[in-house]
Amino acid sequence: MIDLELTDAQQNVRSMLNWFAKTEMRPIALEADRTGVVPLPFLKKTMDLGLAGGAMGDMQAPEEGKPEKKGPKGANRIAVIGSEELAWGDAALILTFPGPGLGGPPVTYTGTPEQKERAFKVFREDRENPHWGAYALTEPGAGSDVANISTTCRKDGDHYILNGRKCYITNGARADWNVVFATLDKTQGRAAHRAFLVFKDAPGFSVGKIEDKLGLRASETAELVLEDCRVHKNDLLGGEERYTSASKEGFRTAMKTFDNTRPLVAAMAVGIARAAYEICRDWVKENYDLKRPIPRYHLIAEKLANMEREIHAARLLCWKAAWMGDLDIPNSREASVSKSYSAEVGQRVTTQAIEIMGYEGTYHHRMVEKLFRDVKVFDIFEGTGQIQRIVISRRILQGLTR
Amino acid sequence: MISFELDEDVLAVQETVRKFAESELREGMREAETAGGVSDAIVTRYRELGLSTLELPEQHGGLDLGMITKVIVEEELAFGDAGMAAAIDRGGLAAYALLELGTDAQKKQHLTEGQNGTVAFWEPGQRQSLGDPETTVTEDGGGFRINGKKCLVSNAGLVDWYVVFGTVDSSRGWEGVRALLVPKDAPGLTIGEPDEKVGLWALRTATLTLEDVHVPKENLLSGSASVREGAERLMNRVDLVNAARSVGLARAAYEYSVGYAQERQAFGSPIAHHQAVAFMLADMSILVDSARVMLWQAAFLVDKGENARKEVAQALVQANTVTSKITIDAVQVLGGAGFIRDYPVEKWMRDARALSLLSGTDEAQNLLIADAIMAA
Ligand SMILES: Cc1cc2nc3c(=O)[nH]c(=O)nc-3n(C[C@H](O)[C@H](O)[C@H](O)COP(=O)(O)OP(=O)(O)OC[C@H]3O[C@@H](n4cnc5c(N)ncnc54)[C@H](O)[C@@H]3O)c2cc1C
Repeated sequence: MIDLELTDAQQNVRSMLNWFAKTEMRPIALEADRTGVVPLPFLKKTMDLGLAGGAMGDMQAPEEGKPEKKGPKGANRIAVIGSEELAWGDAALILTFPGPGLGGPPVTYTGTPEQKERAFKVFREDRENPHWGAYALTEPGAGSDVANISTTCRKDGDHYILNGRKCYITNGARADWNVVFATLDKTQGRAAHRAFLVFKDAPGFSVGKIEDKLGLRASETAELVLEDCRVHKNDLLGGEERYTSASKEGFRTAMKTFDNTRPLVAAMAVGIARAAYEICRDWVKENYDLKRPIPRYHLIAEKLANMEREIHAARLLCWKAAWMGDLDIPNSREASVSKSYSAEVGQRVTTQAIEIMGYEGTYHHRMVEKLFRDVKVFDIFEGTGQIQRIVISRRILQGLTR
Repeated sequence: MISFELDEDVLAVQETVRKFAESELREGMREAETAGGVSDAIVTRYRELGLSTLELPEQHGGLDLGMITKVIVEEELAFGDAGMAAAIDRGGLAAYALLELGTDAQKKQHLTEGQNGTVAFWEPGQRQSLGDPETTVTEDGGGFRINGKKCLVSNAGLVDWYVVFGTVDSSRGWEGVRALLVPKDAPGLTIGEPDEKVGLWALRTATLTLEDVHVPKENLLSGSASVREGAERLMNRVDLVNAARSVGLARAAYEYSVGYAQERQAFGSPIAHHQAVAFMLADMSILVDSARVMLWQAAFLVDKGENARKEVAQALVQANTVTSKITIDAVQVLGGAGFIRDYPVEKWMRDARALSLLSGTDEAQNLLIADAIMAA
């Protein structure tokens, strides 16, 4: 049955997170953006409330080969609702929530029970200090073209030796561990890809540059260096048995992560767009006597109407992709649809908000200016808008879905 | 809850309509376009399939399937042909007017007996103007006398009666508005020549001129305590139908483009493999989805009995905006062939324009949305 309203339970999650966003995130957002520092008390609060890693939907993936043992029913839907709400508060802060982050899904999907235990234990046991996991796929020479990674892994007895550089890794420097993608043999393409759980004390692992960015400035973006980095074979995600026959498992690990996280990232762009829209709308209400029959009214009214409509459409696309995810209906087209549309709407809406409000240096103007900078990356990470269109066009050329 | 799942019975209806739309509408669309109308036979067939009343309440001969089913059906019909979808729905608009504004007696008489009627929404030089008509109504000897002009009236000349909105006192806003049933043979009513429109030629539209048209007081649609609220519910339904047709039209252009791009070769491969084309196809896919999810949510809210005026208007603007872009891009995907009448996409580009004009311009809808935003 078609039912496009939130249940009371969903509504409660939304209200709870909205309250957190409003009272805990918004007040520190501008300062965190300016300094790049997220206060420790804030991080602790996210841990106390169990928000840690929540927005990125860690540990909600089904157990491999046991489809019936799902995360809680409707977890993807709750996650998109939550992502929008928290991003409405501040997107950079979400990425900084302690937890396994984007590293969570590959470990959950493909890790052995022992690996899951090792990776996730710290989040369970140390409630005093923030910890992070991270996901290290991108390299200076391979971003969109993820199959082209050149970080190498070489078997050496009971160990693997990793060599290469990873860049733009969210929380990569502060993370306890990174899921690092590498290749056994670049000529063999995806079949030779492997993912490793690389703990920060692994010999040969070091952190390079921390990036200075256009937006999401409170989120850490790091370069990682692997110089003869030695990890045990037990750190190969899924174990060696998983790779006995030549397969695309490694690459699939990377991609599976995306089908689940794209709608969440999309919902974050929706949250940013909504934040900018609401600030702009309230500003217009306060500053314009909109009943004046001046042409400017119509222009602004039209803009606001378009902004709200597009945000609404984007949100529904996120809901749809998440609903499909919950029902185990293949959703890579829909995930990409939600991601590309929401990122575009986010950019359009934040741009319009600035255009309408101008700049006077007040709190509201500074917020909108920040949101405008923050949202751009949503059309870049987790697959650029162009990459989403490649995914979508491939799907529709394989067979139309209606 | 967030569920986009269609029930079994809806899926069954959808399957039936899809076949009908593909075999009868898509096949016959150029002929209907040239003829400027549809045959009675196809209207009968549409009714026999039970498609003309499925959203109506059971007591009025319907299946009570609600607007959700209706928008799914209309998407499919318009996927076949949007103009024909509007033309075969001869009594649909008027049925909504009766449902939302009529008395029980009026519903019983006109709905149950399956008579044909239509609603005259527009006046020359005005936006959709149910709440602010220039047409005047004067009380006169136990009845009403109507004077005015209505334009772009769907199925004009093909139906038994018209729903006409006029005002007894334009200074009183909605308070002064009356909705009246005007029989086709009322003295003083003239129906103009069919309009020559940019598209949707299969749907006959024309101007009605009302000169001292007299109707008895039983013809006043007085079933809704508030004319305004009844009219808004009427507009919700009509806008949903138009938005659904728009989505169907967009999907027609999108699917045709995908098929064509896979066949047509250039530089040694199908043009679909050239990224500039592939991305146009991807954008079409994104946009069709975006319009459909909004349409479904709006229909869902209307079925729940909510005043979803804003959501419906948003769904309509989204659908029209998206369809305009997709149909224009479809012509681009076909290149020169897109410009030629041997191919359907030039028609769809024209139909999209006509559909969006007939359903109320986006500017007007946007002002409605903005008013709702500002009032909140
Ligand atoms: C703030 C931030 C955080 C990030 N966090 C992480 C992280 O945690 N982990 C991680 O692994 N990565 C992360 N990334 C990296 C991100 O995923 C990549 O930047 C992204 O995938 C794009 O890759 P690229 O930067 O190499 O761009 P390129 O791949 O070089 O793309 C450049 C341009 O070319 C276009 N393009 C590329 N290929 C095609 C094609 N085939 N057809 C058409 N156009 C094409 C792209 O769309 C883009 O416009 C992060 C990036 C940023 C900015």
